[in-house]
Amino acid sequence: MSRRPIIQMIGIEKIYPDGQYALRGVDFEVFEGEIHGILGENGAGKTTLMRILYGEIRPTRGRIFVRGREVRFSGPWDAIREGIGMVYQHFSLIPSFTVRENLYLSMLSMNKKIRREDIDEIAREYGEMIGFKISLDEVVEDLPIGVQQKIEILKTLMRGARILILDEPTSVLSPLETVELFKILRRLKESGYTIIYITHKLREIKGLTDRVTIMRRGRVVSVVETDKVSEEELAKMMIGSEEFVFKRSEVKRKEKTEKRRILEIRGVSVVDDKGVEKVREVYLEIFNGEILGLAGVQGNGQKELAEAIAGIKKVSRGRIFFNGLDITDLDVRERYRLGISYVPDSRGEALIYNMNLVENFILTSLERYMNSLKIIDWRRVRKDLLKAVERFDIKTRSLDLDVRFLSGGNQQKLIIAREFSRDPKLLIVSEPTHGLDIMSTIYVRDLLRKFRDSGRGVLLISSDLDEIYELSDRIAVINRGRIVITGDPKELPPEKIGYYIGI
Amino acid sequence: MRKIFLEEAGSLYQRRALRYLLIFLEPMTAFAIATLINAFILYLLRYDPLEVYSVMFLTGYSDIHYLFIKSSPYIATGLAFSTPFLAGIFNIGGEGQLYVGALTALLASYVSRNFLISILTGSIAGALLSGLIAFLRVYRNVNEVVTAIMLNWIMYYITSYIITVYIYDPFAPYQSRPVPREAVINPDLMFIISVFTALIIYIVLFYTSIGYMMRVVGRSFRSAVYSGINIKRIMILSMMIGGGSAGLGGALIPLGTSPHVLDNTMSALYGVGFMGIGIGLLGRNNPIGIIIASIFISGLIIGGQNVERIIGAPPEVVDVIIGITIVMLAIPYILRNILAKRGVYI
Repeated sequence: MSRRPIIQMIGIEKIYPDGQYALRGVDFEVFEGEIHGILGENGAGKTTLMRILYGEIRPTRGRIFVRGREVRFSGPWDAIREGIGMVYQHFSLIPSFTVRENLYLSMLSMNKKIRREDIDEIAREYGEMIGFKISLDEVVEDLPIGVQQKIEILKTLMRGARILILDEPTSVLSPLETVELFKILRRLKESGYTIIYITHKLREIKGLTDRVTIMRRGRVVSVVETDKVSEEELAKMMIGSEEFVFKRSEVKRKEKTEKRRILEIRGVSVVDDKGVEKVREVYLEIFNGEILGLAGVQGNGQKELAEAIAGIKKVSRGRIFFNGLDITDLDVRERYRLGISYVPDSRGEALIYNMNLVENFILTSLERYMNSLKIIDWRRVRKDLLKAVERFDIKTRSLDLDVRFLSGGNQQKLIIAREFSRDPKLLIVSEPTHGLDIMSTIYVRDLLRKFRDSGRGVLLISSDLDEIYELSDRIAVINRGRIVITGDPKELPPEKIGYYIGI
Repeated sequence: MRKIFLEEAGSLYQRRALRYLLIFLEPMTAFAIATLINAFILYLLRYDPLEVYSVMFLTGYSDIHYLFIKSSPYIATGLAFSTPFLAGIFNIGGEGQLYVGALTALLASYVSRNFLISILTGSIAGALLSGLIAFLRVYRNVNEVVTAIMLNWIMYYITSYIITVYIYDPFAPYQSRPVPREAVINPDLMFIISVFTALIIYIVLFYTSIGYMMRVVGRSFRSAVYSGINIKRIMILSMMIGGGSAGLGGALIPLGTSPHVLDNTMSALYGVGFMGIGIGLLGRNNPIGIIIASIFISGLIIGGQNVERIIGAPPEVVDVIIGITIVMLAIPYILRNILAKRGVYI
């Protein structure tokens, strides 16, 4: 491997117009032909730094050199011209277009004269290089996420990128897809490509990268060669030694007193907007003092099932009982009032980004803060919110800040704080630690355990098997809308679950 | 938590001061640019910009009393645009709702000889008309802008027809019979009613559950679905509040301004509803802002009429000046909204 830096970023600072510091003077260097990891918790500034490199945001201060030459990007198009490409967490493909149309569209922005027929040739050439074959006539939305991601990579390569930035690429992938992605990345490295890999997962850093830059709170903490450090050392650097509490809290499990059924789902089917049956005759029960872990690859009907319980989606068949009461025909607000609480996987759904913390705090508990004239008692909202902010350690400059300015972890804490302060009997929570840093993850999982131990029920939907095993008292696996198996985690080893997830 | 508050308190206040300064600076800059563009246009048309401006601004805002009266219907139509806008519906039908409000209020005044009943009739009629637009949008997925534009014209001709055929004044057949003397209101009351309506809507929007739900629907449809808000109902309701306000504005015009009639070309009403769109945007879709914007624009309109009278510039020139001023002042706001949709927040 050559030791020539292909990218140098010097003294990068980024201060947002609202005064928030994202980067506080970062030096960053990548050698040609290496896989370089950027490790850090959420809000450490990893993505901001890379979006600056990609020309998407402009730094407040600092200089960027590509191949030793100083550059000043006015937009991603300039970065692309320098051979830098970025693959986002959320894909930028048009779902209703075919693969060819998507590739054509992206090539068109590089070369106005390109013809649709040329696409096939170029796509095959690059496809062979990374060992990826696909029919270009497939419509993107019909393809699995992992394949869409490969198309995204292919697209970036076809635009002539020699330096690839990947932003948490595995957050949407299943374990098998992750393995395939790593294969592609290694092949690219062999062909001389440079890869920058953003993540907060230690295992991926260890397994993939040559060197790693560790960031914390807008600063670079350290740059190390990956094979010279252990996962523990990486973790320490990432979260800072003073905060390093890796020990999992050990909450004593109370002996179950009386088994009471909180939720009973009887033969529920749900049809989505396009008329596709997403949930097929599901039978499930949740008891008090229990976390039921619902495992499965995303998009197998979990969301629809959760929404059916919350009342957001109507069921096409079956009944739902909550504490013995048939709630199938009740609307969302009535169900929330009865004590059902739902934390969806998408924070943009549970929060209104351009409203402040105070306004977001009452989204699901409006009734509680209204007087008889239906006037909202904002002062009481503020008082309760302030308590919740302290109790859940939500970091914010002010309660009047729009929640879009909070980091992902703090947004998630705010959602959980809001839902917990409603004192629900049943919590449906979907991917609760998705995208969270280690500290927040531990914290959220502890909260869920405590919630369970206070004798209430949790439906935990997660595509992260570690999380399912760590928290669940019982496990159910959903696959193409059907519950394929339920059982005790002790009797269901991961291989078996993996089998049921994948069949 | 507390530590963080203390640490950054100083800079927080500085930032806040900066933000308020920006709120003030932004429209001033926009206004200055508008003035420059207008000066250039006036120069091209061979009018002396300084003379035009001096007439416009010195006479436009000199008679506070008249200024307030003039601004009253604009407050109402500004609210008619902004209230639905906050809930995510584009009410471009303020004009039609204004006509129907004026007509029904006039008709009601003949029968009831009572201003309160007339005003209520006008408001309800406006609300029902806008409710129809919202209903078609929500349940039939008909674009509200298209419906509203068509209904504006339908209402224009219906009103004109009714005036000419049924309620014409035998001595001046191009206009209606006047409002009965018992139902005429003091012009000052127009302003009081309008401002009161704006304050009520302000409270509804920011202090009641209904207003909260409207703002949630307007800002995040997904969050509204998630929290179980009845989106259809809220959208229709916001539109009806808007239409009711436009109807109110329409009712106030014949009841409060002499000669207390409507003519068959709607000269007292024409354009007041459309101006509400500009005023709503200018007032940053905030009822209090709308009051200020209405007074500001009314001054320009009054001053513009004097420009016509004293300098002899045609009304079109004055319209251009007012139009450019509104567009310039609305640009920062619209720009910010567009950028926010792309995830850039200024």
